[in-house]
Amino acid sequence: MDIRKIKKLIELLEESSLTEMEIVEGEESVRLSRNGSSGHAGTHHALHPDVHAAAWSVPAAVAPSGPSAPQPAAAEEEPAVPEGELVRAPMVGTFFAASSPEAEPFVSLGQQVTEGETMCIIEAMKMFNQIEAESAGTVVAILVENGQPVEFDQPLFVIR
Amino acid sequence: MNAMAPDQLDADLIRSFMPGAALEKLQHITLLQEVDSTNTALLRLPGEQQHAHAVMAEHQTGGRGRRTRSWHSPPGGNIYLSLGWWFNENDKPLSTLPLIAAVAVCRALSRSGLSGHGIKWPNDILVDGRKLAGILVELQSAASGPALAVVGIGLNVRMPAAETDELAAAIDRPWTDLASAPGLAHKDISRNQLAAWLLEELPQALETFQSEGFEAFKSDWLDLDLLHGRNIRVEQGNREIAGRARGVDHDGGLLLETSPSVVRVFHSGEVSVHHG
Repeated sequence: MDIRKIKKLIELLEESSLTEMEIVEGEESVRLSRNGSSGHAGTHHALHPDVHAAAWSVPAAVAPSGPSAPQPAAAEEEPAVPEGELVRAPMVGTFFAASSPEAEPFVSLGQQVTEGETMCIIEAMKMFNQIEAESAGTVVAILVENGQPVEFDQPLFVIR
Repeated sequence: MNAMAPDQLDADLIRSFMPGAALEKLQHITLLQEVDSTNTALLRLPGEQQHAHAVMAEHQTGGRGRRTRSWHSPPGGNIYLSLGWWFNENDKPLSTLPLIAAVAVCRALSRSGLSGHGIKWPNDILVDGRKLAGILVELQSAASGPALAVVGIGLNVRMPAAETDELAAAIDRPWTDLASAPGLAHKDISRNQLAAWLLEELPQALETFQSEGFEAFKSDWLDLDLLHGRNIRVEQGNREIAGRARGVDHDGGLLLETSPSVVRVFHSGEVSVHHG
């Protein structure tokens, strides 16, 4: 399902009084659920395409320790993912978590990454694009499944 | 391999075949007798040496194809060439690079006098349904910011006779080499001359791509499209979608007409031609 469509669905959910909605489209389905009751700005929604149900849970919002830690602009656009730095797909293609079907994934949830470390491969037109981490941090969310098609600019990971 | 064998690759000879303007676009030519893979060798170089650097080898011990596939790379008779190129973040979407590289290789092959060659989406080069050259483009980048592209080309020029080369006999797909391709005027084609044509066409194509994007290559690509109008199957994971090939879109995605008035776009997948 197209990421824009999912964003639309999130908006629909936000405007409604529902706590959960599920949309089935052919073989794909998306279940959105409202998580937590806290007020206006900080509402988080968990996004669970059924293929990776419970792949991650939304961590509780952490109060910024520094004075007025800058809010990444991306967090505004993508209310469905935990806060942190988003690693996005630089091109349309297929997401691969490992260098080959037999290999271990490049990164796993909770893992520390260093700047320049390979996080995944995106394949399009038989071209293999190794995506490197732009900054060091901890992987707090992996938003796509191995072998899944991804759109240009689609969030893949959250690093914090 | 006899060191005095004719048609040994020779960087000076390659340069001598290239016009000045083409030489200016190229920083280095590194020629190796043996390497694991010319793409890997380029990726190992320090960043400042990768741009416009061509690495060639007489023999690859670990020639790579797509993902887990290997590219059979016996010594002495073929071309294994990789070119590194840095793109900045404002350059056009890089996913069309494999198609652009394929057009550049076809232009170089046409200069050798070859005819009848074409492209099987996205970047396999075939003659009479047999694979003549393979292209493996690898990109290294952060999600935003500059990206290094390594364009790897394996061109079968003179594959050792199958009876003396068990591995060649074991290649699981139909293949051919330039020496046995029909329509080639002279069978004794020089690998140095071929390399010079490739090293002229590729950087030229990459520069044009940087300024004009895939648009500048689309009509050439479509002219070389071997699948156009044919019944094909696209395999994606464990799904297989059948339809009629209808060229590519502005992104280089394969257009597949699955039923009248329904055209789907594919950016990945394994294509096979449906006979009958």
